Amino acid sequence: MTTTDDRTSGPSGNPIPGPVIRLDGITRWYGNVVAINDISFDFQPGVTGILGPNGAGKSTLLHLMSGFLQPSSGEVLVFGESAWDHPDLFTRLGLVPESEAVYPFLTAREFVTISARLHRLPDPEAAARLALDRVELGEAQDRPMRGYSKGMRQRAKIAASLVHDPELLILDEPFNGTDPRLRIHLMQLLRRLAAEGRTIVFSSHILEEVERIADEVLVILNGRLAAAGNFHEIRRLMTDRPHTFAVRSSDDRLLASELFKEPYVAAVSIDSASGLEVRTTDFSAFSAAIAGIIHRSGVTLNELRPSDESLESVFSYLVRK
Amino acid sequence: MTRALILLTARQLAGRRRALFLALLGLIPIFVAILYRFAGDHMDPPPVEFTPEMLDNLVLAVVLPLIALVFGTAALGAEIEDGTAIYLLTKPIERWRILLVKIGVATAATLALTLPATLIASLISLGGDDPYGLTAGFVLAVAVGALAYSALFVALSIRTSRALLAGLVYVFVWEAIVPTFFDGTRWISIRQYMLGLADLVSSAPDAALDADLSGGAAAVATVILVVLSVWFGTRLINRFEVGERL
Repeated sequence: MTTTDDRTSGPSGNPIPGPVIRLDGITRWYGNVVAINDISFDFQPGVTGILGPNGAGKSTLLHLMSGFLQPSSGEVLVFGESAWDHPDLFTRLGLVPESEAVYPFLTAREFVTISARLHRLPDPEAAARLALDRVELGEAQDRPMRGYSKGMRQRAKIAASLVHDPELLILDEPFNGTDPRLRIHLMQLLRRLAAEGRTIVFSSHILEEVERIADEVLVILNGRLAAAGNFHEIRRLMTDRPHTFAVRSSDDRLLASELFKEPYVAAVSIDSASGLEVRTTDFSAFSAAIAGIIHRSGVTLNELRPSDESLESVFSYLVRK
Repeated sequence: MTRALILLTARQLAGRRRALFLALLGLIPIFVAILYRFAGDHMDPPPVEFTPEMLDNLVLAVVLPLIALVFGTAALGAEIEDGTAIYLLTKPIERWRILLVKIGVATAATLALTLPATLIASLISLGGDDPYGLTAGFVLAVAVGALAYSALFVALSIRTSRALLAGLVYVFVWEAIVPTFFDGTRWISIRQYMLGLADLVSSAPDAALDADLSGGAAAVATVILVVLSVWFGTRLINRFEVGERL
């Protein structure tokens, strides 16, 4: 986890005392259901990814951070002030919601210009032009948004959230529904914004998205903080865990006996219906050696697949750790 | 900033089909006045009795509340329903200011469709002869009623996604039917406030226009209702949480 007494600076160069966002033991209940359970974390400038399966509580956490939900207990501080009931924060904060909804009757240029006016910017047209240039919406910016694809709407929403040049940008599942080209463009944009000194917080349920751009990661599972910190440390935790493979061959017993000879194979179980289940402590070594083992034992391989690679199983492992 | 919010809300309310439907609704009193004036040889009842009855039963009881209901619930409630309200709420604008602009634009849109219709229908049905100041009385009543209904329906639309249904029940059950059984409900009826104000300005005899509330009481009740609606709406929008409806 990051320390809490750092002094950092925003894009304007002004020092920000303490973390940009501080979550201090926040819990949020919906009736009898706990959506967020006692999470504490400090966010600093750079890109922080909030990773978790659908329904884990990522959106709830982002809504708490942007002041759209009141914590049941604990405190959310943004730039040192309570996020709840504090609309002034939006002079320094931009939010890109997950919802695709936009004003269908407005063009993206009108939408972003109106956002600039509502922020009381001195030159709204120029600010809108700059923000739209950043998302590369092209000629589509002068067409009503009712005809926009999901990706175009996403660009318009991001432009509207950037128009006032915020120090903190919060994005809820920003890559959902985007094509690969737009995804790469958005990732580069977020990295660029972070390099300018901004704090970028985004949520995703795709491990690879977070891996590509996040410096820090919060892994959320069932409303709890399963892991937090530098992405590489978390990734190592994920890759160092025992991996399970499902294997089917022409002679499962013979293959099992050959596999047992390898030092990185922790366990092999045989099921007459589903074949072998192999647990290995070294994913890379097993992957590199399996072809040779099969060749050596003279069996025919019918199926080989990792059986516990779903994000949920990775998260479950982290929680157990 | 306020201008941008006004223009955005006005464009939201000016959806073609909705505006056309409501404009046609607003024309009904004029058609009825024309029918009364020109369709028969004998005008029975006389214009000073027919006009307030027509304006009360048609404009105050149906046309005005329906138009105010559609505009009032669309001004902010529709944005909350479709999720676009988040673009307003993520701006450094005091929430009460957003609410006041929404009420103001809904009122203006309601007035644009009901005030000219009331004026023209009254002038036609009276044939230009208005000894008791009925036209002025009903124009004032419609102006105040548009504000009161808009404030109530905008606040209601923040509270519930079924504001349109709740508004219909209020207009066609609470205001239209309940007062016939319970006299005290006139104190919670915008229609009765409007009649009281029309009666205050007009000098029509009781046979033509007889309100249940005095003009002063109607004015005070209207102010209280508008203030309460703004207070309630501000409180709701200040404590608005995204997870539930956005």
